[in-house]
Amino acid sequence: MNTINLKKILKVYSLIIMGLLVILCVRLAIVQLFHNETYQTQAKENRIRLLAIKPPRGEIYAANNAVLAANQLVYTLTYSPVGVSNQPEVINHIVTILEKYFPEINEELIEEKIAEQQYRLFEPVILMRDIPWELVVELEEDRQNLPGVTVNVEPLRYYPNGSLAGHVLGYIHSINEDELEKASSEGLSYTLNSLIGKSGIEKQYEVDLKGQEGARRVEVDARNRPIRELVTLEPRQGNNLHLTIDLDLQRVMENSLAEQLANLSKQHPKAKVGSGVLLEVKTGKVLAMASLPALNPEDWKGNISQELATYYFPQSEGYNPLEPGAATNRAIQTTYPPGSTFKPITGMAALEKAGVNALDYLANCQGKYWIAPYIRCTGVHGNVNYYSAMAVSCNTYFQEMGRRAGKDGLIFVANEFGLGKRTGIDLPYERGGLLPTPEWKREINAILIDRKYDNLRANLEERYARLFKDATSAEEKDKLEKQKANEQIKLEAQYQIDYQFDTTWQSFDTFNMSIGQGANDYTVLQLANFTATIANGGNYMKPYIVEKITSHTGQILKDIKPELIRRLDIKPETIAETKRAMHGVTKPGGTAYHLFYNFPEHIEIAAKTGTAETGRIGDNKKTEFHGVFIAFAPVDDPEIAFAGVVEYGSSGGGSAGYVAKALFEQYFGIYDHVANIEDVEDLTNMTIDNNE
Amino acid sequence: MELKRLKFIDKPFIIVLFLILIFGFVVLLSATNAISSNPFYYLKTQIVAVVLGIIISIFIIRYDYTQLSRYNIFIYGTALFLLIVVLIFGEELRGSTGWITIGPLPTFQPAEFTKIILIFAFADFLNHRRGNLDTLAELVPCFIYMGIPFILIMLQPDLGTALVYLVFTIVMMYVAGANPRIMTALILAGVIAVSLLLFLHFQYNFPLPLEEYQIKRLTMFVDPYDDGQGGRGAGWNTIQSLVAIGSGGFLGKGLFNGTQVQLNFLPEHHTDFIYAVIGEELGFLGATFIIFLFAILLLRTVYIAYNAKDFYGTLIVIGISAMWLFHIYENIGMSIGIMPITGIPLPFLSYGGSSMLTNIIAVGVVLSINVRGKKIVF
Repeated sequence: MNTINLKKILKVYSLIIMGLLVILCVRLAIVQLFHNETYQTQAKENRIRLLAIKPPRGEIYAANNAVLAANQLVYTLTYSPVGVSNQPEVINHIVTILEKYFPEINEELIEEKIAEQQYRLFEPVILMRDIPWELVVELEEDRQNLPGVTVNVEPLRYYPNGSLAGHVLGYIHSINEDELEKASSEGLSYTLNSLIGKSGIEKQYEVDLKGQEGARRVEVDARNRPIRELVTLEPRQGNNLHLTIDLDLQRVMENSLAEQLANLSKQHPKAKVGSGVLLEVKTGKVLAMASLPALNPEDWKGNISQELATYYFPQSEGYNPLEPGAATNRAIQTTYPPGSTFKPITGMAALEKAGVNALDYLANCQGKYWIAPYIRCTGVHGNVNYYSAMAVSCNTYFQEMGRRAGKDGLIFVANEFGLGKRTGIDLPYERGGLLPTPEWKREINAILIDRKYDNLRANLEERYARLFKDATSAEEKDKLEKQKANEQIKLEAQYQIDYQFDTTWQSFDTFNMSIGQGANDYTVLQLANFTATIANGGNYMKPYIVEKITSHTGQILKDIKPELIRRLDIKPETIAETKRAMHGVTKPGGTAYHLFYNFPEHIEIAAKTGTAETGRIGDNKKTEFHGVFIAFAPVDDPEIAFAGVVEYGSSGGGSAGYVAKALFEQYFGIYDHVANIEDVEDLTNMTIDNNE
Repeated sequence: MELKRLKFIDKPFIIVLFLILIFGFVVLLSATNAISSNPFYYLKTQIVAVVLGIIISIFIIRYDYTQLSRYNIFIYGTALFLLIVVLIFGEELRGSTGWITIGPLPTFQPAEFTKIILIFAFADFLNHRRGNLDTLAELVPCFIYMGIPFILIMLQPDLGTALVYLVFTIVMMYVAGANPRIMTALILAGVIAVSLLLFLHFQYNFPLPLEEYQIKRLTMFVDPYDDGQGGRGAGWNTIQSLVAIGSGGFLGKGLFNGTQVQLNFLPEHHTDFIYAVIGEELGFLGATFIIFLFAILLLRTVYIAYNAKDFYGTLIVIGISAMWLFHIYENIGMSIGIMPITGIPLPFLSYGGSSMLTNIIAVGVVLSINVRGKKIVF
């Protein structure tokens, strides 16, 4: 019985064995045969990583093919935290080794960088770009103590000329989250490790310069260590840009501006900022554009020191002329009152809209204009016509011209010359400035007036609310009621008067505008382009900096042609008269005679000086002026036009005028400044030192 | 022992066993390829264990196992002693304190050997009670007898080995003729109790005498991605093992070519997860082939057990058989995501000296009973 029983039990046991093993086989079939593809995909995802290969950025050349921005291969220190078990020790070790070279690197900084990249850790975290060879050797020797640390070679931007044309070039730096988000929404491939153009040409032409990232398909193991490369897609270098910038002229402009500032700042500590633009008048090409304090794109290569950060982006509240941020390109990002350089506009408006004859002596200058508010003149000029008034910059004459042309005439001409409007230059952050109009005045002042009177009304209510509370008898209250109603009527009447006055264009607005004061505010580039438009006889060109885009193999991808935005609706004779009048400025007796008196006779210069009230709160209206200067040459067949502003330069002829002079000397071969500038960089550095 | 008895040795059993061993050596070479610069290091250790096991087995086969019955109390005592020693002096390795070092000998796990010792002890214990296992009262001593080592092993804690004890205890009791109704009722009650405890724990944080990570490891196989780290925590092993086996497909990726194994995505792939290596590199074909070999091996043990000279022998062989069955089912089951991860090695395939030695000794025991079987006519 026992045996039979045993046999039965063992049979059941055998069946259980079979049953369990069949279950395993069934499950195996499900996993291996039916879900095979899913798991194969997962296995692939496990082991294959796409790593980007950085493309070299497109190079930037000046007009004479001098290199402005190129790439050099540098050593980059990277760290892959995955699989490193003793991370704090390793990081500590890295910091110790780096200390000799980069004392600013500490543990927190590295951990921050790792944390930033926590979702893409198979991509190595870039700790330092451009490390010296000695450090590379040191790191290699200490390999076994530095798991996860690698030194890679990658292309890095460099600017062989330092700060030369720095503002035009702009700079590149680590991408921030907003930029990353924007770029990815535009379908551009960037990673947290990417560098991106932040200003200037580098920003404007980011898409062209960027190039196409290559990719490495890498097989990795469970610790994300690369095992082997599967496929490599070579990166494509970005496209090269060829600028209209003439490096010699650029150098002269920067050097001359620096010199002027160095001299002026001795008397005037606020004189720290200057900028200028030199245009080719027939095409709109920007031959030179400078802004001081200088921007050196090289500064932005690595981590920015606190000192540099303050130099570029001062943290002071509001604008402090003693601490002007160097990041701003003053030629396009800052607007200035044009001062007397606006007078050609006034003159043209009078000639064009009021039928004034340039030869007629239409004003007798006795030191101030005869209509309120009797704005003072620069001198006592007696009887003046267009030519003599321009030469001596007579405020009286031009106020009279403004009165005759009327505000609409002034606005029309200024508008035609593009004042107060962006020129559309191929640089980012260009500002529009302001050409004041009655509409603008109404809009801005209505708000101010309403705000002022809302305050007064509230005060009145409050005052009477208090009085009512104190009032005891009904009689008294009644009296207060009447009193309040009276005051309210008075206030509203006053409001009507004020509103009417402040929001309506007044004749003094016209006078102010005629001499380039008031709310006029233009960029240096606008002034330059307005000058160029006079010079070329009324063709308003679009200024541009990039004239050619080529591929890295030299193939021309885009040839940018001069662009005529509009032919001005102004009679050629009007412009011709104005050129003649501006020519007078550099003749004996003219405000710019001292600048050009020794120029050869065949090179004649037309110019206009300007001394502009700064309009800045805290500045002394009587002693502090910006020096503004516009000029073009040669008068009979103009080639180039200049505009420049030296902040707190006191007068145009005494500041920015010298910059124009130097440029014209260089351009026309009168004096080779470049050969005599030995240390442009030193000079620019000197101004930087002043800032610090 | 007369040598002529050796011709009665169970040939299918031996052949299948050697096939499995050779299969195992080849797979081990591939599995350790990525973790060792010396490809033969692990294989050497493994072969040494096999050879050592065979030498010991020869002695075991020569020795008449029936003599052991007399020393049973001593055998049982040894088992408990080993378990207590390991509890006190054991070294911790991979969350378990089951490892021990004696002098120059390599570290080993007494729990492995204890399995066989306990099978012997319990076989004798049951043999004496045969026919008297009908009532609950008669069953209770059996539970106490095996409950003591069970608790000792749980204290290490080594849940996997404890489950092995439990399984061969139950199977041996069934075979010994324990009242199947009571047994089944008890097992059902146990299953319900454990399920209820787990339910209470997860729903109402009912405290269990296990660490949270152990409970997690046990239940994680149900949804390995739900480990709080998106499959990178406790669920990682199950997922990577499944991906390895699943991506193997019908024919597999070929030896030394499994990306999951060779790139170390699959942890412990030469020990606990050796089966995933087979699944990935040799595919469904290789994976089912090894199950087929195990099936033959296990069915031969049943045959040997049935034909044993005495019931003591039958019980020993069945105990060993049940031990292997559970090891195989649990190990393969966890590799393919239908059993919790317990760290139980796959017999004859997983790398590990103690485990290999124990299993070869167990083979010796089975063969010793085999050659003395009923069929031998004098």
